[in-house]
Amino acid sequence: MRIHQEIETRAERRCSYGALYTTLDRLEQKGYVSSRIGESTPERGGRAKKFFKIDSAGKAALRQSYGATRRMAQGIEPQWGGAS
Amino acid sequence: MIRVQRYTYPVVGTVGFVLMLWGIIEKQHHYWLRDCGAFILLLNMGSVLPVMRAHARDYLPTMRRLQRLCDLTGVPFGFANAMYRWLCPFIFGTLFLSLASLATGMFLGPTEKFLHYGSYTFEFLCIIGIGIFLTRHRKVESILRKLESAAHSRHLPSSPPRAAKFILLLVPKRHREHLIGDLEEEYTAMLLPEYGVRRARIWYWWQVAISIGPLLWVQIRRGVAIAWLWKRVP
Repeated sequence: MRIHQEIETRAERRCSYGALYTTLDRLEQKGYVSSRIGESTPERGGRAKKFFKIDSAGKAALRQSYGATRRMAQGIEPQWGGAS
Repeated sequence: MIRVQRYTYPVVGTVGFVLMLWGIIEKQHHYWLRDCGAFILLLNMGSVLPVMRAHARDYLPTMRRLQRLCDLTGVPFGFANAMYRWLCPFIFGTLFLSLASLATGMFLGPTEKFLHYGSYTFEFLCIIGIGIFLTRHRKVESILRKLESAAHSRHLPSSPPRAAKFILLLVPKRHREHLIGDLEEEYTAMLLPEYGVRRARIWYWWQVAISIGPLLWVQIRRGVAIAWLWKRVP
């Protein structure tokens, strides 16, 4: 629930639980994140919580992806400045 | 920090009030004392405003929850009148007017009695406003607690729609428990108390509708891929 809330707050867009679980599952299969089953709570109807943790491979991939996005943005920003 | 605030505001306020009263009793001889007292009192009230703002932030959601609970339990929602809507602007307005007239009065000197006494009047009104705000907030909180326990004893339909939960059985097993748990937690802890049963149920159905697609699509793709491979096997 926390990841879902964070995505909706930070990205300012709706995100379904299904899409979130699919993405997290795919990231886990690639070895970028690892999960563990937490304790069950009465608010969840006695169901267990699933906690995700980013692994070192995930951090490296994230760093690479973020760097690429930043370099791309550096190329775009002057174009915007010129256009306006 | 809270304890410091609890004692600082009344003590500083009393000091300011005593100085102001002393200045009024002494009349023209100690007009600066009277104005300093009023100024201290105003500063003290200004420092109460962040605390009031923190109260106001959770006041409106509390009122919505309260209204919903009143609807469910049949308790009249009479005390939540429009006065609150005007209370905050009233407090800020009187504080500003008091400060402005006091500053102008201090600048022009003791002869401008109209400005000085106007400032004290606004200050008095501001104190009353803050008092009403804080007592009303506490009252609302206590009533809310009582109503919540009353609503709980009436066994409100707090569980999500069963048909929607049945549809969620289509979700792959490894995600099912966590997905249903997440939806149920948000439904029970956030949606139900804030928006009531009807809206919470609509939200639950909508979440089921948009969540099931991506999860099923993975399964369908996998099934199609297996079928395709099976056909290729000699």
